[in-house]
Amino acid sequence: MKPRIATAARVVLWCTLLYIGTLALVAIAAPLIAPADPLVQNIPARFSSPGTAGYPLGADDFGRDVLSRIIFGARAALLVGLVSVGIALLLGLVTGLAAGLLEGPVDSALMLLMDAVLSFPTVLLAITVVSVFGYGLPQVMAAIGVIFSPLFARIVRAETLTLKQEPYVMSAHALGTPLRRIVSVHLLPNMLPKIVVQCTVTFALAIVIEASLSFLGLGAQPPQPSWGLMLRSARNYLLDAPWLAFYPGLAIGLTVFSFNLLGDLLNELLQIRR
Amino acid sequence: MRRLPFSILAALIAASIYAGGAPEAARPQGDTLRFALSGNPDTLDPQATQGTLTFQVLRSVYDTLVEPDHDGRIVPALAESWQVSTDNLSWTFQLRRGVSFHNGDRLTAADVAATFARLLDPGLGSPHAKEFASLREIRTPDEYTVVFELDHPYSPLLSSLATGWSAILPRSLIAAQHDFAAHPVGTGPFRFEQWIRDNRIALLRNPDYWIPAVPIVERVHFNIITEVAVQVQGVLTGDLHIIDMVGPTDIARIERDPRTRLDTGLSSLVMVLAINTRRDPLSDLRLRRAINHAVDKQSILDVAYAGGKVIGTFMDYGDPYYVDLADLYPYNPQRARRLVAEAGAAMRTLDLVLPQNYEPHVRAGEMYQQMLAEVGFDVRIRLVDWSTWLADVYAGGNFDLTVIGHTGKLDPDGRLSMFESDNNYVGWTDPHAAEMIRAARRVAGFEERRALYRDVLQLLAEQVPFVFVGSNYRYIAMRENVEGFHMDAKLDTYDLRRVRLR
Amino acid sequence: MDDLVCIEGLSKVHYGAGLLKRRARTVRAVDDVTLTIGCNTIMGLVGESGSGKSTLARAVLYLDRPSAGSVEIDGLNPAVLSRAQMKLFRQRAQIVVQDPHAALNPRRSVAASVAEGLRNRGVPRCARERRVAELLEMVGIPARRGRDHPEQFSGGQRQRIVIARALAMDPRFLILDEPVSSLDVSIQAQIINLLLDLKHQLALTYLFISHDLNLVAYISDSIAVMKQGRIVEQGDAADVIAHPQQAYTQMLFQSAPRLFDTDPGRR
Ligand SMILES: Nc1ncnc2c1ncn2[C@@H]1O[C@H](COP(=O)(O)OP(=O)(O)OP(=O)(O)O)[C@@H](O)[C@H]1O
Ligand SMILES: [Mg+2]
Repeated sequence: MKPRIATAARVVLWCTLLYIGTLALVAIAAPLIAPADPLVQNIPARFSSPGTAGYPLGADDFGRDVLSRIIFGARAALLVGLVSVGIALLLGLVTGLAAGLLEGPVDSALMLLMDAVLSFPTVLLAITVVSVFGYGLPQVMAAIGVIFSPLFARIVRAETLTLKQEPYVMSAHALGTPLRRIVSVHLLPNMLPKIVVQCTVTFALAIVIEASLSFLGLGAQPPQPSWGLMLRSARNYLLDAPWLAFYPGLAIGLTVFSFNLLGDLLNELLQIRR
Repeated sequence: MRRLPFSILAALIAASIYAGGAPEAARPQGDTLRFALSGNPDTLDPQATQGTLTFQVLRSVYDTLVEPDHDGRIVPALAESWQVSTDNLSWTFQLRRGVSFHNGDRLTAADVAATFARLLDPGLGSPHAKEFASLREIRTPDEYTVVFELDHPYSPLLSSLATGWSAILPRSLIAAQHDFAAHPVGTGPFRFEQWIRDNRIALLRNPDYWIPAVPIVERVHFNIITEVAVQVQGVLTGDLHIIDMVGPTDIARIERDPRTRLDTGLSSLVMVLAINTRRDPLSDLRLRRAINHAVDKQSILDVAYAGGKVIGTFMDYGDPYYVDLADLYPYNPQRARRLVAEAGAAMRTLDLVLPQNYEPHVRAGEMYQQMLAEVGFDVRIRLVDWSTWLADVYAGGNFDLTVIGHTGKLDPDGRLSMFESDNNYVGWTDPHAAEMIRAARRVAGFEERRALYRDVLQLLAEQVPFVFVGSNYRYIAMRENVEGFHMDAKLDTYDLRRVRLR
Repeated sequence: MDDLVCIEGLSKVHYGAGLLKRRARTVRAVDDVTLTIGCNTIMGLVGESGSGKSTLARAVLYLDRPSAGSVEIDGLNPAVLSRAQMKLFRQRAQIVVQDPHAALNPRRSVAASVAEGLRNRGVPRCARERRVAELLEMVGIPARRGRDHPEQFSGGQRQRIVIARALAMDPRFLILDEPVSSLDVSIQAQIINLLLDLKHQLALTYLFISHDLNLVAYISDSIAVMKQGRIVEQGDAADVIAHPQQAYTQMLFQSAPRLFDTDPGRR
């Protein structure tokens, strides 16, 4: 029984990776792949239904090609994921390492701060941050990055505290290895699996929040192609042009699901190895 | 057999139909008009707010000395007639007799004087006090005569007296410091019954109203419903009789349903693409004209504003002072490109600021961006929230282009006084225009004023501080059994006096 | 005989975590320990689990700063050393940590682990590679297996690699924290023999930590017995074994499996 389950999991893993890989490729090569300019309006073609010549997934309320906007929207989604996870990871690493290595009052203070950030509802906090610093993707990415940094900080801190007790870290200390090198050679590589899992999960969350904020009009700004923004304008035409909501909704759903699934699978995979 | 003449026969038949009793009894008892109000008013004190929601309710509770008729002309209301002195400095109003307030007080000149004394009381801090800045004193030579004495001629006064914030309040309650914000008392067709926050405001028919046999319905319920979808659902199911928030996508559903009807009219909003004439590339008239030719105005109205009429001027179509300038700048990208080339070949980057809470303006902005790109402008969209728009764009002038709608004003001075100096957000003025705006305030005759304003409007259109796109349609959905409803587009209020439910 | 290691009044207090109840969770893991270890001798340190042996080892090497007391190894007192001198201290005194399974970073090749100390000493790359090969051969691991990772080695082999890593520093003093307790009996003997050989070859001094009094008796010159952070008995190995002063020592001695006292030949 056991190997069969493992095989199934492996198949799912490869499918997920295939989807994410394709998505990344599509995002990178968007200008080459997209059949049309995602910004060009064609008023006579507005609300063309999917399958209309030149509009495989239909046209939106300005007569823009939905497929091209979905393709370019992948760029926004992955960019937001990458940048905000990058920011969260960087901030989380710094605070987590500081707390874990220094311990004592520094640790207590930093963790109190992180808990405070975590205790706010994420989307609400993001909305607040964006309202203060202005609407737009850069602000959204920064906000998501800051808001999710405690997730990383906690993991890094806990791992640092555990790994610090590992005999090989103590040996390194005894061998006179400088702290910088202990961190880079002994601590970071050994906490990598947990961080990677957290990254994929946070990536999914970041995409959801970007979509939510853009849906609320606080994230990506028109006419930028973003899935959340496409949903926003689609909500006016749910009855007459349901495809305007369906395709971006599907893209968000699939992408978030894939990253979450990847997180789960990696978690299992890396745990088996340890 | 003697034949009765046809007319007599008809009269007999008619009489038999009404034989059931007096007109009182013919009206179905207890019929209630249910109206959707899109939010709680901030207050019900007509002098303390500029909120549209307040006046949408209070129009039925209060009366004004004069009021606009359905064509926008000012006609008598609580004042039966008025005269203006030859120097245009004193305005004399004869009050209607036999009008009483909901608390039983009889309307006299003292009530009018007390009302405006309250409005101008700095202690109240009314946002409308400045409209009466020209007022020196109010005299009441007898019980039914009120004289407004002015410091300088000010023709817009009459329009101000027709607006909701000039509602006449009873002197006795003013003296008693009555809480008008929660419990309005006027002479209007309906008396205030109760206000349940977030639920409804209920009004009751005033049987002693000064127009005989008016109003007709027994009660009015303003149901407070913030969601458009819920309003639409309400009118479709019959829970509501009239709703004034109809989204573009609901139009078809309401038209399809035989039990509902759509009342389409032009709003008094003038949708504009405002151009900052202070800033560098756009201080060049050729570029502003290029922008005007680059905009397909009908397309903007159809796609962004759910339909409308191109008007080409800063006066709405229904206004007595309207001038038809719709063909001054036809959509012509070639001419626009030529003008851009004439002004210099460099690529022009423009900052287009959009108020993000107003989706139609945002959508219009997306279209402007594309249309201007086609004639050689690089337009960057920047979305801001409403308070930022007011502070940064409207007050601060920090923009190249912005999209907004200007609301209607009863008097043309309300729209045009901002061009008396360049102290307006587009930074435009003109010495000749400023002189005419001032002159129009001093003359009282409609034709003289119209001639002056026509020239101002012409200049404004030619100089292109705005692309005047047009006015949007506004849609009011009602049950098919509703009759006699009138919406005043200028004041954005409803006249419910003659509404009947069949 | 010269003393290589002098420990005086050494204490280590662990404070509990948390903001409020710090005092309440305080543990005096090492309490006023005074010891001297002669040059090129083996001192055995015994005590039950949790008695503070590992904590003492860490404090002696200043891996955890002691709460009180002083340490001097080969004339170097780490409390007063400059950064450069501290490097020298780290060379002189090394530790072979408990649990060989966790003593090597699982993500690095064993050669990289053995080379770590050399790198810290600034040994150039090619010399480093040569020396790593030498060290591995010295502890009985074929040099070509250097690129393998710890998981590919048995417990005994790993312990050899850990020893090689410590020897890379050319230490004079080596703390062996239960170097064999997690190994099979036959492997234990091999490692013990290796350690004794190395001691002779390299003129090393050992602090040999174990809770196995028999093993300690077999290899030590002197013995210290630890209980709840304190040294309760200390002296010449033969004396402590023959006349344990404390019931605690007797108990330790009796509970240990007898293995090495049947073959006292190598002493
Ligand atoms: N970092 C720490 N924080 C708090 N208490 C600690 C810490 N490290 C060790 N202790 C406590 O100090 C005491 C001594 O622990 P230590 O590891 O030195 O014992 P040991 O003699 O080496 O035991 P074993 O034979 O099991 O290795 C124990 O009670 C332990 O719980
Ligand atoms: Mg121990």
